[in-house]
Amino acid sequence: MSDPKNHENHKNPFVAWVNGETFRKEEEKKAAEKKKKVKKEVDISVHHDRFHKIYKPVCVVLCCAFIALLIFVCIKTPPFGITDAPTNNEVAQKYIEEGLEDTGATNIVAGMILDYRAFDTLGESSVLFTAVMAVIILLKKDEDRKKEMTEKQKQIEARQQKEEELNDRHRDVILKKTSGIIAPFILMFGIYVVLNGHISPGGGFSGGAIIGAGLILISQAFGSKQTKKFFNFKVFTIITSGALLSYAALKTYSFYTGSHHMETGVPHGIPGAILSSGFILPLNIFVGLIVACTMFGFYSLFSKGEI
Amino acid sequence: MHEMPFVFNFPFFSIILTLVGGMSMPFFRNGKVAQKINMGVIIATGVLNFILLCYLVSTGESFTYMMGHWPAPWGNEIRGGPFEALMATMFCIVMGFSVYVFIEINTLAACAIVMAKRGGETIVATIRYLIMSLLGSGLFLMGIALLYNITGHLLMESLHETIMEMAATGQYVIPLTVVFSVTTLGLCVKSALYPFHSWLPNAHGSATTSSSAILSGLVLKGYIILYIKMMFRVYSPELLAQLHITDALLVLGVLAMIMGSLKALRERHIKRMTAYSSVAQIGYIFMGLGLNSEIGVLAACFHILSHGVTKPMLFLSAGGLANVSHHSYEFKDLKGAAHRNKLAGVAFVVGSLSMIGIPLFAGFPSKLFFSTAAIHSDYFRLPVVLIALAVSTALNALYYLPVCINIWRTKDEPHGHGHGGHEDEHGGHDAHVAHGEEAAHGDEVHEVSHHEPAGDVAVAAFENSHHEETPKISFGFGLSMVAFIACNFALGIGYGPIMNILRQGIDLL
Repeated sequence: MSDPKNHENHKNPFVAWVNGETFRKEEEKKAAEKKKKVKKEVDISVHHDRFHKIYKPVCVVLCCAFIALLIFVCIKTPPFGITDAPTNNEVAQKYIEEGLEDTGATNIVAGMILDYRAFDTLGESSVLFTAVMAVIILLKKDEDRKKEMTEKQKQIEARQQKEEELNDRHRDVILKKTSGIIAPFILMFGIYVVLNGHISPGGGFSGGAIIGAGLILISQAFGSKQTKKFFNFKVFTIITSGALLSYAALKTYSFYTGSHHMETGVPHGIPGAILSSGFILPLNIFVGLIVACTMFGFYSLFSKGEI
Repeated sequence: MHEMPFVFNFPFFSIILTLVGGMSMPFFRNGKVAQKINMGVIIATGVLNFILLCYLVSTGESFTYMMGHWPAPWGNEIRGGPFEALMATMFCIVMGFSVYVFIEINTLAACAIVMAKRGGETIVATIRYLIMSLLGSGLFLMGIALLYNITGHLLMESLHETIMEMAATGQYVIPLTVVFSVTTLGLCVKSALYPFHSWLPNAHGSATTSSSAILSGLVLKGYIILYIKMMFRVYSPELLAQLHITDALLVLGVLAMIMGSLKALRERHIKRMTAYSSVAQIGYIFMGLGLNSEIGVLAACFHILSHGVTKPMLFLSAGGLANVSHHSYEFKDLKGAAHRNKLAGVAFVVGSLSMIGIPLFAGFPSKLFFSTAAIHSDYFRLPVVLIALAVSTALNALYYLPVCINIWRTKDEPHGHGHGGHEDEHGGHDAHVAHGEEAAHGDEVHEVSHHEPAGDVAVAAFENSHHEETPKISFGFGLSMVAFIACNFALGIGYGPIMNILRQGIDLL
């Protein structure tokens, strides 16, 4: 065991195995084993083909079986829309009957997701945040990434940049003009949906998606340089993290007072008025900001690798 | 409720603290500050949970904490008990749906962990992990949706009542069976039980050292803890036994114990080997759950702890050993690595002995409890479990001990510097990175560096220029290694009190 040299390992294969050298073949051994290896490779490829032949049918059969099982189960579950279904229990009843009084929001859904179950929504926003962070880690072009690039990649990069510049100069006139008219309305509608989330159908998630779509349209029509003037990576970070932190701060206060049976001291206001229903309006605004930034961030990162 | 003790706020504080800590990270331009804040959050959460644990153990109670102004069926609540406090995870949220949302956070974060190091192989591993993970989440979500459809609840407490009622009256038997199996399957995929383990070794093999430590030590366990909670608080162990789900878990667990070990035996890559060993250890845990007795579940819980302490140590020490061996994880390059980083070598040996189940190490009590649980079970399970334990232990020894011997072998003969051939190359420049204890080997390092191929000189020079910083890194490394070894011995020797806490926690679930 004391001398770990290779020629000794031949005498004692166990030593070689312990050393992890069994895959490191000596020249002479290699020659002898080449024949074996060729045979093995053929075997593997045959095995591979066979595996692939079986693989697809088995997948299809498994999927069909699973679909059949799920359909069968769905038939066995209570039918949709009957009055005495188990889902029509005291939980839904309270939301519908006392939701307005409890939360001050005429939109019951907003009351549910931002007041009754605000903890879940906090979790969901964190999921969005984590997803954006993961995409940034993967796709964002930063200084380190540029250093790692090979010559070929750099050439491709340069060509892409040139093309983009050309595109910027020769943007489609119809697209430019049309989106110039439409985009402000889209953004305004998005803001309207966010601000009226507690009064009418809508809210942070849907309004934020509309704003994000508007931003994407602007970036498509006028080029990313135009959007960069008011929306760069710094702004993106500050808005996303700031909105999430404010959400967390508001909800921490609300959770803490709630669990200690204290009043929050925030009036519910008159139901239906824009300034009503306590925390739901600011929470909607924060969620809207997060969603809008996430949508635009995804688009921007996937298409250009930067915001 | 009005005189609620202040400690009951602690789970809430820890959840908010971790979330806020993560959200505020983008504001720190300096990575070191962010790292420090991260450490601070982790320590604070740990301290909070520990205080809570002490309090709960002394009073012997569990509690529910209202998240907001609305009580249980309408709002969210958090439930805490000794078990949860001991596991110190955030899977103590009562509502099934919250549980789902938080799994998603876990998944995405874990995928980011896997891919945090770039490279083609890593990306492929990440995609595979993502697909498997989403498959598991999808199955689990499907189960919860069905469950909501037939019960009308998402809360563990109300779900349990409705399910027990249904089981008594025989209503919706088929959907209920499907729900049980689908959620179980989903969580099995997510925790890499044997037939669904294929993503794990790849994810581990190409991830960075600390990511694999977190992945196998904590992320996999989160799903198992969730499953234990579902078992006791949503379903009931008797019902699961009636539907033969525990039998299935037992069979899969035993298969995983043996197949995982066999696959680990074939590996020549230290991290992949350790990852396959994780597959085997996950098998132990599910086998304990499948024994369908209280002591089996307790043994499984204890194994979660002991494996959670041991596996990160193995991964970290393997990383430490690879750092002084050309960043290679192949066995042949790791020969004698322990002499270059002694602490990592010691830690790896301790971890291996613990995994094999030598007394005084953390792995011993859990194996002892598993066999006790087997003896308390029926005549059919007894031989299966005992034989599986014996075979798996022997296999563990077979693949861990050679590595231990290999890393502790003397790198060169006393006269072997000149004609050591390739070994000198491998033992080469990275010896500079070895920490303070290696000062005595300074001369050797110098001699060896003369034999370096020209291409490596630049790297060596680069590392020499950073030589001033290395003691700091190795201080952290040393501290964590010593802490892990201490934890291992603490669990291995003082398993009595921990078992008591676990028993109390399971009773109060």
